[in-house]
Amino acid sequence: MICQTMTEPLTHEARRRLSLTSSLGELVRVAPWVGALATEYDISDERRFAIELCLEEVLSNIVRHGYRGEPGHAFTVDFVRLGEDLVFVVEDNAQPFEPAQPGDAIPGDLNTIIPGGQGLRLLYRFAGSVKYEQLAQGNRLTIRF
Amino acid sequence: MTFASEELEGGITKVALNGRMDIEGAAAIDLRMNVAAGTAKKLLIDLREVSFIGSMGLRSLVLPAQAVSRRGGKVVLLGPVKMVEDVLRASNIQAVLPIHHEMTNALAALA
Repeated sequence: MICQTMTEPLTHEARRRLSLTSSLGELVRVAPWVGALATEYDISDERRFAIELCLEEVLSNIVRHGYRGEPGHAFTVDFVRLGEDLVFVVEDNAQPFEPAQPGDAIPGDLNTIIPGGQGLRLLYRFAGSVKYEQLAQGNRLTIRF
Repeated sequence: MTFASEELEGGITKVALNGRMDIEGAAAIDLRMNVAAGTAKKLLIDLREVSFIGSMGLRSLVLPAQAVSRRGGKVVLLGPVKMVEDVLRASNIQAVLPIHHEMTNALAALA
């Protein structure tokens, strides 16, 4: 699905927003942000772990692949609680990238493993649901826990 | 993320990791992990104090383990907490790096 404009459907309901720029160093801000949400919304340790894991995988993909390691590009993470659901919406202006297919699990022979490539598998394993939308300029990923 | 290594009886190198194996944590230990793996024949990676692991953390385990394995050595993992173990198992790491929760079992696996 391609949205015609980069709308922000959760803007009016959003409880929290984290604005980041495209460097891996910026991602150190994510865990404290999630930690503050966990305290405020009484999020369990297990759910918090899953949120931090999925956000790390998604956001690092944006920095390394979406923006190809170029610094200075902005992207955002919005959080809203909808009933029992914890919803995170990640938006960027990077090239289209649909994280649709989990990577293969590590094979049974240590010496044939190509390190890396587990991020999407972890995302789909630990998120409740993942929805991708291609924007007119960029991507939106909605992750529910 | 902190790293401590110790030589045990039987030629076993124990590496104890402490903290978050996220992008930042993995980068902090990669060099020392690779140095340890460069000489170890039997490597025990103690994960009991690791509170988080992501795909970059997995990479920080797999690369040194491959170095040890290429020289005919063995690597085992000790004591990951539940969520860390869930990540390891979601990636099928346990198929190549056995997970033990008791030190005696981990040592026996390296004997």
